[in-house]
Amino acid sequence: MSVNVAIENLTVDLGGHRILDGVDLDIPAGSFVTLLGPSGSGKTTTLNVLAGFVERSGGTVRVDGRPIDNVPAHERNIGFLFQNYALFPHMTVGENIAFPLLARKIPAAKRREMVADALRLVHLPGMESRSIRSLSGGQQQRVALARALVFKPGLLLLDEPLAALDKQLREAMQLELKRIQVETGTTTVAVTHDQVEAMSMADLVAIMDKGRLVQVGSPEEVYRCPANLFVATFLGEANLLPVSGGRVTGLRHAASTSRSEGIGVVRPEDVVIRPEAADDTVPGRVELSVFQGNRWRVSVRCPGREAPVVVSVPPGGTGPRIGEEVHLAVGVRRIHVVPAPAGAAARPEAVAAR
Amino acid sequence: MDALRDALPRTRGWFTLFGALIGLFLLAPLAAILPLAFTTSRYLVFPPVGFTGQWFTVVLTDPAWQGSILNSARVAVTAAVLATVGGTSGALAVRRLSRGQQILRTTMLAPMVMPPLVLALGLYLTYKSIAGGTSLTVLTLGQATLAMPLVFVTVAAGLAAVDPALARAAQSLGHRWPSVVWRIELPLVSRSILSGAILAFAVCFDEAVLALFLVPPAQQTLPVKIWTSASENASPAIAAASALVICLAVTLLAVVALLRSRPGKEKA
Repeated sequence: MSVNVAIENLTVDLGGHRILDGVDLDIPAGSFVTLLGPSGSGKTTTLNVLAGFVERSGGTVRVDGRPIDNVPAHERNIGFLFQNYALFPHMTVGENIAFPLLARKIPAAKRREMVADALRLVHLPGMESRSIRSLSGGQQQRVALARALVFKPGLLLLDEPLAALDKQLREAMQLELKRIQVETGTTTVAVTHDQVEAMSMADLVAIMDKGRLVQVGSPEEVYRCPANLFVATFLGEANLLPVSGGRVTGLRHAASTSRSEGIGVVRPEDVVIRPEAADDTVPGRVELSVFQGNRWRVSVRCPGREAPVVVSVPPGGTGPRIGEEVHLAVGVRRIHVVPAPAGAAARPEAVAAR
Repeated sequence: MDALRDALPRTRGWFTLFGALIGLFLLAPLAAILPLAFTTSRYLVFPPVGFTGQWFTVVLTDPAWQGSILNSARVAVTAAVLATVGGTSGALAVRRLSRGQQILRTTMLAPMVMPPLVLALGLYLTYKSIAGGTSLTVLTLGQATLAMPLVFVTVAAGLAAVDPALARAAQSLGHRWPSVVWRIELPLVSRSILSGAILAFAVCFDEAVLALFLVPPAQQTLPVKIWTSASENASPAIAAASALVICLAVTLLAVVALLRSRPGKEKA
């Protein structure tokens, strides 16, 4: 039932601006792909082209090998979950969910059955006759999801699906969306600007910047081995350390580097605090130590370094105290190095914030 | 801040007074005409004498008056229906157009700024030369043109409150655009359409400029009948007819106000 989607050299120009600039992306059948990027990166436009809402200027989109560029939106058989849900306020929950079935000329009895099944899937059984206005935000989203899935589309598109929910609900819905996607096996593409959200739902994360696709990979891949500085800083926190001649400048370390020149990306959890000095440690003084529930976030000032090194310390026990002298070591065997962007000499060393 | 707060109530007092004066100025003619509808005199002269309801009976039973009311009603209903279909279609179309929106919007609003006299004269001369004369049908078409911008504006305002994502959602769920219009957009703006239609009817019912030019002598509408009576016999029935028209207008405006104020389905 689920389909694979191939986006080939997709280009979109709107009002004299190039919104998408040659995007290539393969979406395997049954996978969950998130398009991640800052606003204006072209992720929503990509989704709208898939849905048939935006005209492409160049390139092609194939579904199971067939180009769909000239298929109008209403014939694409794609489920679309809108950011604000776009439920029809003059219809009940049941009528909303039956709406796509109406277009498909499904008889009333069968329709009722399918609506009930869809409501069960989103854990809202028996809510058919409720009015849209009487639902909470989370319930509205579930209804919108049921409506987008009731006709068993081959492809499900989610536009910032969790942006309108409060934090607690958002985390619950992340898992819920993932569960429903696994249960139905529908190929799913979600747009988000939240990296935690992107990584926790997706099989594949596609990172976009300025209308281009920067990197596609599993969440672990893009986090561990970012393709460039943008990806490294966009996904989580990182210590960015200049590397030349295969060594991090001014830092003793046993680890090798993935390339000899560039900027090393060392995640806070890749730095360990050792009790005693050794061949591969660097001395430093704790400048800040903050408890964040799942870790201590410790920034350590090392002599001769401009920016502090950020270290994640497991939350058990007491964290390092401010002013304490510590010895830092790189806890991975290989430091991932990304190419230095042109003009990088301006900021040789920095900590990328979340 | 304190000075401002002190000044505010006084300013509001002046506003109230000014508003009341404007209201008085606008309503004074009504105050003059309404009592005359009950005069026992045979002529429409101020001040009224005595009290009688006979002029209302005349207006409602005399075949000439009755016929003119029926003509007005028939023309106004048809014109309102035409204006509603046209104005609503225009408002829906403007929303769908990817370019040329401004041109269509201006075209739809053009009858609002065009002097009715020009429209009346144009229709009169055209139909005189191609059909040998005008008819209530021509009047209906002319009035529909005049009323269409009202419906257009009302429905466009209603549509502006409808989330554009709803149409996209309906499309993605497999519905073609006619189905989207019929099942989503029209139901959501039904109140706006109804108030637009009522306004159109109210405007057409007592429209006089087009009517004076286009009404055939044997088929007078109410405003034309009032006009000719005023110049022929100056009967107080004119005042009674005017009072009825005013009552109708007030009622219709009240209905429109009610339609707009009740928590509507248009608010998503």
